[in-house]
Amino acid sequence: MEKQILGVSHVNAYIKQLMDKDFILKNLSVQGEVSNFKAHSSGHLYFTLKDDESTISCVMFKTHVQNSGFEIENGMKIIVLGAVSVYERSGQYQIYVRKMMQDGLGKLYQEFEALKKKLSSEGLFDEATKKPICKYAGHIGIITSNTGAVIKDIVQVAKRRNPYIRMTLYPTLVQGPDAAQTIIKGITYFNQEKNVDTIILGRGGGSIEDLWVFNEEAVARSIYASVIPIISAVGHETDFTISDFVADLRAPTPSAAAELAVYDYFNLQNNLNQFELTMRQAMYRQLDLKKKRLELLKVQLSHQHPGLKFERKYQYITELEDKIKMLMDNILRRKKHQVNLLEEQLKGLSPIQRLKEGYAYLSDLQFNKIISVKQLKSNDKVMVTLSDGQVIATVDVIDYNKGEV
Amino acid sequence: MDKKTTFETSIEKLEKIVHDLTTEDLTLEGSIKTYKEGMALVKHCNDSIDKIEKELEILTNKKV
Repeated sequence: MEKQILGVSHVNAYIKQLMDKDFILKNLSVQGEVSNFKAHSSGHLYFTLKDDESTISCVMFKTHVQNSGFEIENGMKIIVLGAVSVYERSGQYQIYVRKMMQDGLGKLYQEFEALKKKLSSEGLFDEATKKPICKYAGHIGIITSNTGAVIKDIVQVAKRRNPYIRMTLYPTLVQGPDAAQTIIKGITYFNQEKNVDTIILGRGGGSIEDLWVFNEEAVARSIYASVIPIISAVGHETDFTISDFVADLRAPTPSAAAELAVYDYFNLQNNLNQFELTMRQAMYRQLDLKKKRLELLKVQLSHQHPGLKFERKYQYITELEDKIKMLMDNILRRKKHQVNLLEEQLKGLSPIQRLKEGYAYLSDLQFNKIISVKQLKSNDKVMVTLSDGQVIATVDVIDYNKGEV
Repeated sequence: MDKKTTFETSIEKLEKIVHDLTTEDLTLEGSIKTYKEGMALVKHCNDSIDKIEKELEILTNKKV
């Protein structure tokens, strides 16, 4: 029988039609572990479901994603409900997932949780045992792959922050069965040399299987045993590994690890300059303050000077002196006037004046004045004072004028 | 490592000195002494940074 020749699309369409008719394939539940998970920007989810022997592709369209109730990730054991059908463009069959459920926890995840619990109970994650990261490291040890973006990112960020930073890379495998041993060797190397201030242990993002070496017990114990502080930077920000828990510091990404390990030289320089400036200003201000205080004290002291008190007293005394002088002058002037007045008055009454006018003053020889004839008798000696001298005379006759005074 | 510790201690000391100079009521002698100490620390910090750009050193099996 001559076989009909078909186009590719016809074959795929035919298989699809067959499968879509199948009672079992139309509606089935499949159990497996998620890997190669990819959330497309359109909102559809693509992943592979696997068990120990085989794998099958899965797609879950956006409309169904909304009611799944949890977010799947690689390594997760899940049960999917859907139909197996053909994607005609590539002739691939896959499960069109309508619904999915978590099937307990994936095997790897269980291992991870068990180790985490064990090491945690042994105290490997204790904050108290974590070593502080050197704030001003001069030399950084890096343990990661020689190739790839991680070392480039770290060097770039580190150099940008501090062009003088010294870095030594211990190249290792970062996945696969031998990776653990090379990483442990790297940690041991730096601990023997003791030449670095901080170690960065890093790896780029990947599936849980890719990152698995950082969940291995031997690696965790080596990190714990390191006397040099270790910053762990494995995968993306959302990936957590045992290494992250046991390390002295966890960085969300390798670039962030470089930021944490390497101080910003320019910032430090800036701070030092600022310190210098602040200190200088503070010093000037201090000096200024002290100087002002000194000036104030000087002024206050000069107000208290004893010489000043003396001067004030002296001034008062001078004032009193002036006052006394003035009063005295006044009195003298008044008295002098009085004297003048009296002098004028006296001038009119003076007996000497009278004597000049022809009068004489009569007295006995003892200068007792004689005012009445009754004081005299004949032959008495009397003194007669004239204006220019005295005369002694003898009384001859006494004539008493009766009735006349 | 000890050198680094000294550096960190120097920076901490410097921070304290700046704080003291700007906030504490120091005697004149005290503030001059503190100021001198601070300036010496700034110099020390600057001098202790090895200002030579270095390339990434990649260890080879021979070295390890």
